[in-house]
Amino acid sequence: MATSEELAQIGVSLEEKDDLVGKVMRYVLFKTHQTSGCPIKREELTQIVTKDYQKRALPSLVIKEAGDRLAATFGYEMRELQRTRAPSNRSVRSSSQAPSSVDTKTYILVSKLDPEVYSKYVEDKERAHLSGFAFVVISIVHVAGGKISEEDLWHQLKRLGLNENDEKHPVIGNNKQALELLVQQRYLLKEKIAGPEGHFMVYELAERALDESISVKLKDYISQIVGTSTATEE
Amino acid sequence: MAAPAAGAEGPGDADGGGPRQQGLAERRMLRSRYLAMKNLISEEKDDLAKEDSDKFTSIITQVESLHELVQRPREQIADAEALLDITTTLVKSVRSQSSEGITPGDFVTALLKKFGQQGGLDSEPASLRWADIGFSASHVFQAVPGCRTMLGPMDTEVKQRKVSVVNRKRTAKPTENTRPEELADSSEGAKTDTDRNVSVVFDILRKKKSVRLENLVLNRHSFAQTVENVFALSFLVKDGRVAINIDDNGHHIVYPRNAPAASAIASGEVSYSHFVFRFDYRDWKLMREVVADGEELMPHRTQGSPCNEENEHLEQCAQQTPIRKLCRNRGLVLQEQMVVAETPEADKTSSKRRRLFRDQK
Repeated sequence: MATSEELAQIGVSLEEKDDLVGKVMRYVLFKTHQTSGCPIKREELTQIVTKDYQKRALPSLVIKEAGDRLAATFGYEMRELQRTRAPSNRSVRSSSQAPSSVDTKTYILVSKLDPEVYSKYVEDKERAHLSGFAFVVISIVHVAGGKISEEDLWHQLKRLGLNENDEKHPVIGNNKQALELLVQQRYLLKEKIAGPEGHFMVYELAERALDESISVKLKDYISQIVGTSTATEE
Repeated sequence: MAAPAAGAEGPGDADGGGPRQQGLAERRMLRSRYLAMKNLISEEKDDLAKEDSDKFTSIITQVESLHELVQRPREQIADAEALLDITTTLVKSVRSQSSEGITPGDFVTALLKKFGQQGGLDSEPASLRWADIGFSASHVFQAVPGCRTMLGPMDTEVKQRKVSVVNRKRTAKPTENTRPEELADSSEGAKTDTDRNVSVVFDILRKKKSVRLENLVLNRHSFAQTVENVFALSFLVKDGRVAINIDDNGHHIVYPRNAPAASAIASGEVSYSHFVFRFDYRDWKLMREVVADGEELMPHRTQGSPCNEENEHLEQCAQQTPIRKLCRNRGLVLQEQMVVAETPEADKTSSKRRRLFRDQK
């Protein structure tokens, strides 16, 4: 929480600061639903503040406090993700010229509830199949060493009854779109790579899937699934 | 396996060494066997790197035996491609060792065992209970659903709504047609004022015969009205009813004259010459000093009436004098225009008309 002295230094009253924090909280909550959980760029949150106040230190203070309030009120963690690695198909020079595309800070909301409570009361039953799809795809990419060609990915998904060109799957719907959503949600990165037989697409884990909070649980659960299946075989 | 059609052989293909020259058919057959090997590698990629699998040994043995038959570059390329496929598969396998030796194939097999459900028909592939996986893996992501409702609209959405409302209003057809109240046309009023000024300027010139330009246009009390006077004068000059010359002292002298006939203009006897009259606020101040107080000829116009009492007599004269304007877009035809003052009768009719429309509402 920002003290009244800090606010006085910035030149904003406590009420004004609270109003801005409320605006940021609302924006994050509504935007998360609106974009199906895609990360929210820091720029967007900064603009909410800078639209009315041209104070340099204010956006950071407001965003931090909005995160604290979301945690205290809703039990949501406003987690900061950072794209630190330039995609391999771009040259180093071009990435240095446009740092905004490389070092963009984004925010996602993650529930801090106990996993059992979460799956019982919070997990959206209508969207559970999409969570399942996300888990399967991210896990396949993870066990492939964090990078897999599009062809190989669809080869594995085909074994699970998902064809690349199927737009009317009884559960997933449009398979390609469901995969594209994972790219938008920053679980996966999609890159075009030049190979001996022309260009081909490669999927790799993006910052959201590489984030500690997810990657550790992902590894554990993959081991659990494979372990239980081998145990039943024996 | 259908053999790919052999392309035209290059000149380099004919001089290959070897104990026996291979025929085209043999070489084509060899390439087709390599193609079959590549397909086999692709199909068996999951089993290729397993410790307990002999797939790798059998495939590499077959590739080696085919390699012994290779003599020409085209077959060497096919051999190299087969080896590349094997290498790529093994590299992927090594990379997957980072995740405790679990390959994508192993993981998919495990998923099918735990969450699989057999397809209804024999032809249908096995599928997963996707929702069950979602529930069991929900703790991995613990994603937040966000809020479906909002207390106040977000800025971006407000703009969109406004636009859609405006469009709806535009496209909606009115249920009944009403005639709006007629208002006095401001542009007509402005035109009348200019015409009135033109006639006043001309009458002054007709009386005085010749005057200095600054004396004619200057209004000591208003820069704006001075500009209006210059504007009115320009109409008379354009119509050929006024000429401006420079006398020996360098002063601009304005004097009236009869407008030329249309035939004279058409034949080229009469020609117009134009000049741009530069005039700004500083020039106006200078002009005020040059013209002695009381020597300005154009009267000051108050907002209530365009001309004051002094000017009333001049206006009456103007009503009798037809002002001929040269209409350029009608093939140089001279038109007579009378400057008509608005009569009270005209006002009455317009007010009657307004009342009528009010009653109709």
